[in-house]
Amino acid sequence: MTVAPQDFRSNVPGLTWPALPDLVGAGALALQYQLRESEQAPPAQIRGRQFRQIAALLDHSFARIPFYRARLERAGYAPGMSVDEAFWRRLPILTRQEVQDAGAALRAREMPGWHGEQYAFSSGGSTGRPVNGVQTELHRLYFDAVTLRNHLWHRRDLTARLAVIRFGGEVALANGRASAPGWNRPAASAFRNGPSELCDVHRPIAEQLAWLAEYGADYLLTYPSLLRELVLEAARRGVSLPRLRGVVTFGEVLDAATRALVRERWGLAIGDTYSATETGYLALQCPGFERYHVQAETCLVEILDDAGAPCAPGETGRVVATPLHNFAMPLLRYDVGDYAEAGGACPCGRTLPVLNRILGRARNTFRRRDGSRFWPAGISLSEDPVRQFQIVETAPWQAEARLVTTRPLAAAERAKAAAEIAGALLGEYAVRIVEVAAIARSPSGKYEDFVALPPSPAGAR
Amino acid sequence: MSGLPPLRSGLPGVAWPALPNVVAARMLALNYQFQESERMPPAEIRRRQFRQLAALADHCHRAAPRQAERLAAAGHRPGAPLDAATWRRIAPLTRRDIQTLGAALHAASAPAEHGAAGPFATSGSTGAPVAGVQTELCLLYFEALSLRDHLWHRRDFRGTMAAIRHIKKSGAAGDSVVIPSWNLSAGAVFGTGACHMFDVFRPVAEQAEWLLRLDPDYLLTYPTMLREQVQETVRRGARPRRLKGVSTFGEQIGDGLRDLVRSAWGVEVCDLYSATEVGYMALQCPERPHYHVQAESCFVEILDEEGRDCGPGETGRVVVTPLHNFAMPLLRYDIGDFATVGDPCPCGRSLPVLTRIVGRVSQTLRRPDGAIVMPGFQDVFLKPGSPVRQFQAVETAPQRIELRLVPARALAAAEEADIVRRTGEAFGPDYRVEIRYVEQIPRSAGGKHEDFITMVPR
Repeated sequence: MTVAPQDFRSNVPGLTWPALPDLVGAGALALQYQLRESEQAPPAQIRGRQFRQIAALLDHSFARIPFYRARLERAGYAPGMSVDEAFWRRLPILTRQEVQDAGAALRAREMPGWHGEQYAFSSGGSTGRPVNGVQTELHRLYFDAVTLRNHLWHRRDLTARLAVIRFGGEVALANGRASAPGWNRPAASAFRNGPSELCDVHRPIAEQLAWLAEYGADYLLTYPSLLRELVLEAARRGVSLPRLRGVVTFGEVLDAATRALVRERWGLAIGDTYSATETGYLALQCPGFERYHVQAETCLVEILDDAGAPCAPGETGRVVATPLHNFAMPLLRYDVGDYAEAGGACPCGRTLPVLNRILGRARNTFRRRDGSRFWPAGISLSEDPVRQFQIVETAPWQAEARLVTTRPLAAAERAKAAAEIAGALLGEYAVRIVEVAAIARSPSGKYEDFVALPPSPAGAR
Repeated sequence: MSGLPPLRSGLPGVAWPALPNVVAARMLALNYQFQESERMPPAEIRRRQFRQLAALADHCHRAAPRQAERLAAAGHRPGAPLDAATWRRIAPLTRRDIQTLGAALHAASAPAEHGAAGPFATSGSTGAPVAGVQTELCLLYFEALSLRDHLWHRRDFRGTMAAIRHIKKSGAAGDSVVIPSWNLSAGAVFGTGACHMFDVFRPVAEQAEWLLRLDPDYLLTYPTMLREQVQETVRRGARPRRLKGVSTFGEQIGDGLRDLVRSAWGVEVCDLYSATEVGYMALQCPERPHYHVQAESCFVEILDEEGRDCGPGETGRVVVTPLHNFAMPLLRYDIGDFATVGDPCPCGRSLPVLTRIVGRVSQTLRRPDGAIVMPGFQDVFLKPGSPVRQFQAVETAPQRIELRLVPARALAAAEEADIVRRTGEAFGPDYRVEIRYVEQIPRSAGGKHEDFITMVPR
């Protein structure tokens, strides 16, 4: 899906090419220039520059955040020292619980210079207590740069219309909508950029679909679970979206079944992204392959095994992230709570580290009888009348499949669904089908397909 | 590929990726676009050039009456699309036209966003000087292309640059000057080593001595001077040890120079094709010793005697239209050079290729003491309102200079005496200067004018 070369936005009369954008646009392109170079740089150089940036973050954390000063001292840190792998590995992992308990103690008392305004964030907390904190305008500037990089990687036509279905927050109007003249600030400042519209994720699916068709979206950005619902709703209602050229997903684990469904029904490939509220982008899908490139320029991402050692390609481990530019509330080696499979070098030529798969959170893992864990996947349930599903572990090796249906299931349909789900659970679980009226999304609009029991204190399930 | 060197960051605590300052951001924003445009299909490049030319033409219709007349004569009306056929009907503008028309070519106004218009005057190395005005915007594009040249050739910005060139003698600068960075753009984006400049009008022996003492990482100079510098260092049995590369500009790069520099100094020569009045026209390909037209900054046509586009292998006149000088638009300016068109380059850059810039030849003088210099007498004729339209100094016999002048009007005796005195000072006490008025100064075999030619065999 290639398009003509992008057209840049000029802020100077009489000047069409090459464009001289306004300062925001020039700043945006200055960052993209660097990103385009760094994504091809030797991995050791990328690592070296990450550590250089982290050294600045550590100096700041040491000087201005007592919580980190103590941690850093214990790890043998002295201000001004250069950071290397050995030192970095000595720094303890920061858990979600620690961030929640520390609260404002993680915030810097002052900033080293301009980092812009500070914004409060609250990570969704699909289940349980959210993580609260602050981020800076500078952090957002890098976040926006990666958003733009994603569009440029996938050669999306920036002059086209973008439809977004997500949590509307404070931007959405009473009808759940919002519109903007561009896709985001850097895209609109640096490029000739089409409009975007938002529809709140909590609006009814039928309304979202009707809006999408009426808006004439060229691209759609939404959660994988909602995308799945939209595809099925469109099939049910016979709605086609002829202008739609591409789909971007975020916020939840995208599994192969949803990819296949969208490819089969809409003829479109999905460009997935991996981000977390607390950290910003962790990885973007490679434009050439269904795998992910770590956004090493904004976040140092480690995939660690149970012993805390880096995973080799093909191994799965927990995701530990260090956002490089949030000086208001640094998160040093923060355990995001997700699991991912490390990858080897990508044939696309980009040297950014690779994640083969994002598997989701620990609470999305189910257990085999031998105690090993797995992430269930591959449930499509794409036949009428199942609209939504959620598989919940209710007791060891017992699962409840909650289905939202458009009409009561026939006995054969129930049996077929149960068999499909039991297969996805590797035959380890007894599956009970329960038809429910709705599956609630979290306040941020996400929901999880698979919810497991929390581990018991003894480690048994 | 070793990756981009670290950038200079404008913010404390932000080392990577850098948040550059305003100047640097603009330079990178332009270079980001250059990376795209240099690989666009040629038709797309041309489409964008014509879109920019149309904007320039519209501006001419509004604010530059002389150019508007030329457009009208070619059948172009304000607001009408500008196509290649219409464009070709615009008769090229000669240097003589620019000299004759002078300020009449200046636009009545240019958009304020293009910045102040400042004066320029060519050094006259390709004929009588051409003077005019250009906006700050032009300088911005010039700087962005300077940066592109450094990036193409992957120069190490930490290094020291030596420039042996004409140093504008404002104040008591002396023969050598040090500035903190190579140029504005590289300095702003990356921070660079210092740039040391030495006056090209000093004898070659002094230049070589200075160069060996400085031992820079890079050298920028004129091809003819480079040849002499290399020979001088060879005579001394020395070479600049740290040197990583040499850039040349301002003249045709003579046959054998690249080989000479490679064998004597062990480095490659990288040539630039630019002119004061239009900026960069072409930069050397990073992979091959030929040139890529800087199509984002000027529209370059290589035309045969019938005014048709030359094909690969053909040599024709260089007719150039700077795309962004709205203070003094130059539509189809015949700059007085000849160039040979090349085939598309295997490097992957789709910018048009020139294999050779011809017509720029050496203009060096051997003094009685053996020193070889570029005679720097042009300043005599470079002041605005000079009564001399064209000039050429010819060494007809050892230390005898015939100063051929095409006057714009009859000169008073005092003016003549002043010219003879100042030219004599420029050449030195051993030289006798005589004026000879001529109706025109014939072009050289290559089609070029030379400020200075010598008839004294060496």
